[in-house]
Amino acid sequence: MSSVEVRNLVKKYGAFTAVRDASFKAESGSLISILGPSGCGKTTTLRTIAGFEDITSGEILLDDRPLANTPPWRRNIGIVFQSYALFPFMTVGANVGYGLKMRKLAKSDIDRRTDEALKRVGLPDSQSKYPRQLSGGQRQRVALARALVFEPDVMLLDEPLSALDAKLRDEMRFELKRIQKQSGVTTLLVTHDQEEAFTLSDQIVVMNNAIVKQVGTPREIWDQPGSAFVADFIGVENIFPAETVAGGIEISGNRFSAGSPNNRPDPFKVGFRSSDLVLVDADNVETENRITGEVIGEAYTGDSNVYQVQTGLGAEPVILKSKKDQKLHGNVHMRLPPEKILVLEED
Amino acid sequence: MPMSSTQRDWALSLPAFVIVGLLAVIPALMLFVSAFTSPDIEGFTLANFDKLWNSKLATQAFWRTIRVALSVTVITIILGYPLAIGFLRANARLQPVLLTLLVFPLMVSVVVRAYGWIVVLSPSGILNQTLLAMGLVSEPVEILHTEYAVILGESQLLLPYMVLSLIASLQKADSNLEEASMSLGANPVTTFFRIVVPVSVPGLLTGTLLVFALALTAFATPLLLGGGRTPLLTTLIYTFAFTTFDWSAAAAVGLILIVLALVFVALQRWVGAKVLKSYE
Repeated sequence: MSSVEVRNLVKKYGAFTAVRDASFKAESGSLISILGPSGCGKTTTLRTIAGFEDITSGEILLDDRPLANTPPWRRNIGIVFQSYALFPFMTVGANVGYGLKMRKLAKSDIDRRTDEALKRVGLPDSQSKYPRQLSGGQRQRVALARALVFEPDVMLLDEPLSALDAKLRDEMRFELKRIQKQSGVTTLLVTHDQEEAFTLSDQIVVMNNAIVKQVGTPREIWDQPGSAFVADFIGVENIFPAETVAGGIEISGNRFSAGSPNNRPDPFKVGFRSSDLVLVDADNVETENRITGEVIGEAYTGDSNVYQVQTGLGAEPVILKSKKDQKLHGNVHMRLPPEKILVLEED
Repeated sequence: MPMSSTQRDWALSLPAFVIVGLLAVIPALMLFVSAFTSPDIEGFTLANFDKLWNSKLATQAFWRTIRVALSVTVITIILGYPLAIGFLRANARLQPVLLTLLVFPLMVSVVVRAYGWIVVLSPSGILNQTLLAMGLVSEPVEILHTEYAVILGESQLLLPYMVLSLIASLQKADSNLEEASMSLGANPVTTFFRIVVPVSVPGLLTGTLLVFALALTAFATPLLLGGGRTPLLTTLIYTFAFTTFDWSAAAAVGLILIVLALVFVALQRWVGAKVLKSYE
């Protein structure tokens, strides 16, 4: 097991910058995700670590050892591609054993370790099958076994679950976590799916437009998204521009009391989750942090009702999540608890 | 009585059968018959083949034809891979241009291209003049009217077929396969032989069949670049039919050529069936 560190990584294609000054570190044995929308530079970052792309500047360190001059075939990094990239003309056994064969192991060792790896991913007795005879989930497992069997220093996963249907994806998410923990291999995963990143990772690196926006544990990112982009990407529904005034903040002329004004960037935005809004009665006299508005849209999501409420906070409606049976219409009154207000850097 | 659907199908395909029969089957049968008959002998005979067997010119042409076809196939394979891979790695905007360049020679007459080679290879041609000017040779190298000239000309002629076949099968493959192989510890050379070549086997088989068959039956190129001194089976047929008017001998050579082609097709099929079992 090894740690992987990316230091001030820059990758340019001519005039286009794919990755701008990215830095993060995956501790030995941990699982780190790069989360971001398509085209944000996350796959490019992964490919530079794999050695498929040269880096323009910066460093990639494997256990404090620079990787720059090591070609991909000497990096000892296992990769699971989005398409799995199983060799179609080889059996499952030959696919998994390929990395060991390249390392010139004895045939008996190759067979034994291939068997073990396939057992570990839950596919015993499939050595003689061909990839085309397997389902999507099984191919994924073979790809995992192939990337893990030679005990790589690092495993890279490129959108590993995106080719699977929803039910299988949930199942494989648990499997992936289990296999990663069992093998203890340092893993770097690239995904655009925030749920995947949150459930699997020890650390999350959020990227947008070639820039690392935030690095933190899933909890840190969930509780304290640093910027409007991160907040929006992880599903904070309500984001409005705001400014600091005496005793609190103002959103479009509406005053709110909020936490400490320290460390507030300027300019800034505030965000709050639809589920953090508290409904209050119209005759409630307490007016602090109150938002009043009119319901203009409604959606039923199964375990809750989601409403669009037109308020004085801005042209964008406020999104409010209510309990299952709570039907709302006309004017509604909500309270925004000060501790639930997220202060966000503008992007 | 109304026709059954089978009867109707037969009725509808009858004109096609008749045309194909007239144009292909009957001449082939005539060839067959004349190969086994001789104006001097009554009934069927192997005299024509016997005559060829004892002719140095014919046996030389036989082996030369096989040698040329095999050489051309090997050369187009060796040149085909870099071209096909280069094409697939090229910028998407450049690809249509490259494809046009690749296919363009096919639109130029074989005869015109053979004359092009004559200009290059003849004793007073560009190649020899350059070599003489550079002092590398003291007298013109004799390339034109040798087997090498035929191989060169046909390789250039048939290269596009190999490249296009290889591109077709490489294009279908997952573009990450090579990277997957390298990430598993295989260097680019190992990756080429262990992954790229196996992945392209269907295209390689198609390309080999096309190039070999076309090289075997090429006529204008051997005639113009090989000349009378280096006959191949095709040019030998021409000589027998139009110079010595020995139609039976021409038919016998033709039959040998057909058998050669069929043997190769069978071989290609057999290899294909063995190898492609793990593909589909």
